[in-house]
Amino acid sequence: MDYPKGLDPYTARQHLLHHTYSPLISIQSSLNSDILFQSILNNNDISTLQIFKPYGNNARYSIPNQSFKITNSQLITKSYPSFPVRFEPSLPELLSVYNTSSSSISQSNSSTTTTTSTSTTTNINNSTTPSGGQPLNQLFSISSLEVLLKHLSLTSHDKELYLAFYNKIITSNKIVPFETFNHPIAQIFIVDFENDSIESLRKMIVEFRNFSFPKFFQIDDLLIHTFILYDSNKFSTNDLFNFQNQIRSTLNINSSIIPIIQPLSNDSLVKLSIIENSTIEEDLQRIALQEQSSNSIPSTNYIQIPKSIDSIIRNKLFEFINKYLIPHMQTKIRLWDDQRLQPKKSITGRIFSVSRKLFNNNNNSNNNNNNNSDSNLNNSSNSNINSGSFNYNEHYYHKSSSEQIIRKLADWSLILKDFKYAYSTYDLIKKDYTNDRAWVYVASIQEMCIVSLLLAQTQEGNINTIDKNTLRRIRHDIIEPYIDNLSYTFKSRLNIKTYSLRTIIIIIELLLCISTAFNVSWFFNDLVERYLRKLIDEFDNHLSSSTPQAIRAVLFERLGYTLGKCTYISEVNLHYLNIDKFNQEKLPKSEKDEPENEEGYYHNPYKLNPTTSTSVTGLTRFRKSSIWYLLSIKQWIDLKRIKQIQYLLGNIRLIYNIDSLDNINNINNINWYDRNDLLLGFVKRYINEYETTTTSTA
Amino acid sequence: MSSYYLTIIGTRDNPLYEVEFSSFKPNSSSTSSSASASSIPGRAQFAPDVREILPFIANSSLDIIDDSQWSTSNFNLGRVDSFYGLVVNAFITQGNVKFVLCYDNVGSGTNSKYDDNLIRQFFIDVNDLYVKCLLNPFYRVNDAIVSPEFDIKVKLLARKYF
Repeated sequence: MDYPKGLDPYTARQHLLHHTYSPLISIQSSLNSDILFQSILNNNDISTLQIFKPYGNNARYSIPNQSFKITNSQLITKSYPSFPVRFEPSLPELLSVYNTSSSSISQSNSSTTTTTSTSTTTNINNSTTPSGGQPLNQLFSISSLEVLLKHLSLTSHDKELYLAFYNKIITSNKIVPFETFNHPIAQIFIVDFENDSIESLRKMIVEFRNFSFPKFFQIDDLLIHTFILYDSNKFSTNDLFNFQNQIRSTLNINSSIIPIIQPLSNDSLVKLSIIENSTIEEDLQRIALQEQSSNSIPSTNYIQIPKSIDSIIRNKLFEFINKYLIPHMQTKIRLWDDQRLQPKKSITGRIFSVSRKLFNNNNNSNNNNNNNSDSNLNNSSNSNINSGSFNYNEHYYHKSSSEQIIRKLADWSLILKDFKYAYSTYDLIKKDYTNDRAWVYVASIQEMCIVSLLLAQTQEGNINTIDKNTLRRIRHDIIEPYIDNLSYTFKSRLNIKTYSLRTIIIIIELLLCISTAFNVSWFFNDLVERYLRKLIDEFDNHLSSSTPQAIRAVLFERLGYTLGKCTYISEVNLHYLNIDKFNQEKLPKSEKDEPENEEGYYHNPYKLNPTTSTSVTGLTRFRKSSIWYLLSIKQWIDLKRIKQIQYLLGNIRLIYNIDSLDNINNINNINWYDRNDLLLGFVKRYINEYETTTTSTA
Repeated sequence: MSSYYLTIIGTRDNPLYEVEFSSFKPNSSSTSSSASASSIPGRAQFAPDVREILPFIANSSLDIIDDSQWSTSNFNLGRVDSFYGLVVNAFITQGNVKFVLCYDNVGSGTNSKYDDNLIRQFFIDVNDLYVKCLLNPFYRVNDAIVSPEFDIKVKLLARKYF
């Protein structure tokens, strides 16, 4: 029963774990290693990072029989077929991009406020905080997303388009204090054995360490590692072992060796997508560059790499993740659990926290008073001295404070798929943030509470059925109040509504997951519909609602999908829902069983016969789903994306006859919905016209 | 002035009759404004992009009507659905024919209970007309109602109640 067609929410869940809740590994490569790869691939524009980036998705670029063993907090070891990581540039580089954009924004902010102080137009990039501190930046630009989606809709269609939209919203490499998913977990230095010395490596590391990292980022938690590239034809492994030992003894870091062999001319090539895990801005930049250079060189989104090198990189990364990354995360989690979490949970810890709460409240009111009297300088110096408390000016907890560490602990255990433990940790630390009035942390932790709870419920192997009371609790005590609260915080308190948009879209997909997993779509259907409509309104408020929008179209499509998948039929009766025979009229008994004109029988030709779907009358929402699909089609007609329209028409075939395009001009034999003053009639005529013009030109 | 769209839907989800009209009562807030001059009393004021989806809105609400018909013994199902500011009220006859009324709530200063009562009364009277139509030996169930007499009578009822 695959009707209506659309993105499977479990795929969305998997992408969420791949693109958002996966370890971020930053890479810094030496110039010589870049040159080495460039010479092998015959491509002067490629960097080592670009080659490594796709391999982060080890579900797609896997090795045979790969399995990643993860031990959770209960010391139960499970193996997973994939454990994706994200490769990004090193932290100083990521921060410099972030800081330049924020400084330019604050400049533009100040200029707009001085020149046009009366202007009431709200630019999404101009975000200010009510407290007068440093502004927090938007997660993404809605206008850029719209531009990108319109561009993507030229090439990709079907359910891929919604997936692309979803991926772009959830993919980000922005470093913020209040969530640590984008804080690098490991830093890898890549050097070339032939041309780089241990001294140059030492210099790279020292330079990296000397960078003034933000106060919320703890560099001691970073796993530092080295990849050594070498030509196995030129050097023996003994030389490499010596070099590795030298690195270990002098620099005290581990290293892995990657043999790079000059490929033979007949070596087969492997295609790698270089757009894996790219953000909206990166994509737009790439598209702009491609358009500029389209006249000279036809550029593609793929690079080709010799098979021998491809398999070596895959194997070495698998080894690194299994041998270094996962154990590092597990050790840190255990350490923080012992040092920070357990004392907090203990009786003494609770008593202490109560007393601290009273103390902190006083501190807060002092801070607030300071804020009110515009003595920000005084305020920030206060908060810096007291490293444990929240810095109201720049919205962060100090890296050594329990609040920041426990948040990191919860985030890391979520990455290691220990969702229940993550949920209990988030829930525990939430109170502290609320007491400190660290609103941005509160909103973010509320988001993570819902996400970890829903991830735990939809985890594979979780075969327990869900009872009504649990459902009610999840919905009324957690999801609804938290979403209301965090939307208010992100939107009104902090003016960063894109964060709440991301949260809502993630939660919609997870709710769809739980709906399919336990056949409880009837329970969550109205909530999902409400959130989707809220999203549409939010996007409409920002973009012009009179012009056609690709974002609105994909959201309408998702609404159609949600309602199409919604059934009020219990699991045992699901077989009554026969999509192939839905809404067909049953043949009258007399025609099937009895011979016509039998004596004594009278066959009434005007008698109404029930349809085949009588048993599920009122238990589906196909007709409601169709109207949303129609509205989506309307947007695509304005944008002239014929393939997407044809795909969406397939999703309303159960309700409206979409095959008879020929007789739409025959007035006597026309269906009511094919009238030329109605939307579907208009759509059909549009497609008819398109098909006749394409056949005539062909 | 609120605009209304009434449709009678047969047992095969096929529309038998449809009419658009607007409130005949002068709106207290716009009696002296220029807006009333441009609008003819009784003519629906739906925007073009709403008008082209009105039958689809009525059709989509059938899902809810099918569902809610089991939870009440009344023929009048009351307010069943709403779609982008349009409210949908429904009535179901003994023969499983549905009356669906979609209307926008703009400018109606009256409370919704009063509205619902009026709509219920309107539906009952339309049902009377429909039953009379059924009594016609030349009329078959699920055929379109094309009688001008029926049309005029429905419009008179609309004028009476809205």
